[in-house]
Amino acid sequence: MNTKRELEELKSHLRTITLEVEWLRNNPKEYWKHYVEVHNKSIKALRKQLLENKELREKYTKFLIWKSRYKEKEEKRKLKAYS
Amino acid sequence: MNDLKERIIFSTSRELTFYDELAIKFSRVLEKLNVKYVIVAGFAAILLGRLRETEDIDFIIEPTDIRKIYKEARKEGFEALTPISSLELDFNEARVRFYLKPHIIPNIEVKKAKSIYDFYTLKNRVVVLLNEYKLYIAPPEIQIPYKLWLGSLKDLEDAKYTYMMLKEKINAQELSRFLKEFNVEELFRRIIET
Repeated sequence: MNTKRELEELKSHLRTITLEVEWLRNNPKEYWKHYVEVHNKSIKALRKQLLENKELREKYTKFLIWKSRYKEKEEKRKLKAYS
Repeated sequence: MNDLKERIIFSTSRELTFYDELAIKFSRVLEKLNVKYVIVAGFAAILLGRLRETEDIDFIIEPTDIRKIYKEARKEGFEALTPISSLELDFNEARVRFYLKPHIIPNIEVKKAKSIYDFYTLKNRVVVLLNEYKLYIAPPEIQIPYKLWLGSLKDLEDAKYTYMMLKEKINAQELSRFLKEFNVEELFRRIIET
């Protein structure tokens, strides 16, 4: 274990977080407005891409089916482990 | 700058998002300075078409003078999310984040290549063509095992998605090698191959 490196990573992380928190504290409304706008536009563009690209859409559908089944299976597995 | 033989793994066209523009703009800064880069993690999956949220775009870059990148990035409207006095320290020991002024989120997280896996990823990076832009992402042969090794639900989904999208283009021998090295062969059989 490299303790010096871990300490420096932690310090760097704290420096970044401090700057982020300071900025968020000073610009809360601006942050949320921008982030929501950026996120919505991004999802809209990605959805449009799916609608226009048949191959991508078919693969994506299969992925979503897998995702639902996997989540269901995992939930059952965890419940069984707890019971 | 360009690799001798580039492997185009995915090609798409879409209306560019803020994330796309952020990635393109920052990659142009690196290209201008001849710094080899690769985009990894969540945004790599988004580039392959996944509808997913992210707060940052992760870049791995070859060891270089981070101050030169900082100066060039500033000309393009970026600012570092780290005190300037500790740029080198953060780059060598952790990560450096850049944001497009004035909004600090979403941003770019830059990691210096350190491990043999980082250097493999840079050497074997693959191309995603987004409209007329070329962006480099991690090769799926290492990205899939790495995501499985990380193991969160989001990571497992990214691994599965990447495999489903690029199955026909994956080098099975290389994939098998990294599955073994990351000790995720069983997880791969259980989650990805099903």
